[in-house]
Amino acid sequence: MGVTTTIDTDAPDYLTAGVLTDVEAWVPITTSVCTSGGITSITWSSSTGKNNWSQYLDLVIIGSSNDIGAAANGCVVEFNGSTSGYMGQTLYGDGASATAYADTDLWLLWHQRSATEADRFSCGIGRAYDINSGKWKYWSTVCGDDRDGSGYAFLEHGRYASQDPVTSIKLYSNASSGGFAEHSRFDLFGILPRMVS
Amino acid sequence: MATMEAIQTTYLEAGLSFFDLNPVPATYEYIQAVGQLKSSGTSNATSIWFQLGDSGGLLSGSIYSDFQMAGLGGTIENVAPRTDQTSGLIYDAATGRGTQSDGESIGNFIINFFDYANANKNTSWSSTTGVQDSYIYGSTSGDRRTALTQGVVADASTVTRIIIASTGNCARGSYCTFYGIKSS
Repeated sequence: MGVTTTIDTDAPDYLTAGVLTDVEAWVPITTSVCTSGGITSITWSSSTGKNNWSQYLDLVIIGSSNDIGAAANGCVVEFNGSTSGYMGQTLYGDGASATAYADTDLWLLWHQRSATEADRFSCGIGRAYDINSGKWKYWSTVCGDDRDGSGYAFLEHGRYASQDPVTSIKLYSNASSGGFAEHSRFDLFGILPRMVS
Repeated sequence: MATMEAIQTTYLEAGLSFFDLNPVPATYEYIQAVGQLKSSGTSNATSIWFQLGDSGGLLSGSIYSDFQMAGLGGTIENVAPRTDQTSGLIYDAATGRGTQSDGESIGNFIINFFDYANANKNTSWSSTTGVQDSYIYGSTSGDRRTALTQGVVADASTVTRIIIASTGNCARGSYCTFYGIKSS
């Protein structure tokens, strides 16, 4: 019980004698699936082979998750174990009105949780830009959560004020009680560049 | 061939007037451009914009239009439709200020061009863009935006060139990757 995480550390098959071949731009790296409810966080770290993040330009996370808590909450993204340095600008609509909001967290997705709707999962696609640069690290997400009459559509851009390369990512539920529900899953992809002369 | 391929990445070590995909391969159904862009201009009102090209050159006539919704701090901008523009305006003030250090404020963009090789319809596009322009570390003040935009270029010819630019040169640290997406 807990989380099943599979990490692909095989040697990249898109490098032939040091030359990048024409392959898929998205490389699936890691998948984490919650096998029980109440998982408070999931952390991924760069290692070897395809899971060596230093070879990627961007990272993309696709999430499908729910939370066992009764209150609305979200899945927060943290880089390199840092709990500070984050700023985000969100824009969301709940079907009745739209809201713009300046935030100090970066989100992958948002659970407009209702305790009676265990089968409804939120969805989100987030991207971390230029993760190995000396620039601050930027993040964007498009996510949504339909609760059959309530919910959100959500857009955010934000940044993590660090020039260090991204070597680990933590996803956690910000609910004061609860945690990711069983069957929640998160997939990490590395995005390859193609440098041409 | 792969379903989604990186066609070209350009990473700037010095200023450049625009990112240029020329020619655009006709072997895909969709083109996605992803990157970060900082303007060398010092105005807050710098923008990210694009132009398409066909066999006759860049399309610079008044044929670009769009709808946009944006968030700026606590303010929602439901932008009035822009029509008869000479370029596709992906976002105002989304490039970061040129006066800030290269590593800090920078605009981010994901732009999709749909069925660009089809010569029977105008080229539709969509984008998400954003910038955090708060130059005071740890502060929640400053100019910050996020935007969702959809537009069309009123020209049905096959797209053979795409340029993505800013108001002023694209500063070092900016980059853009053009991806090609194939169908079944």
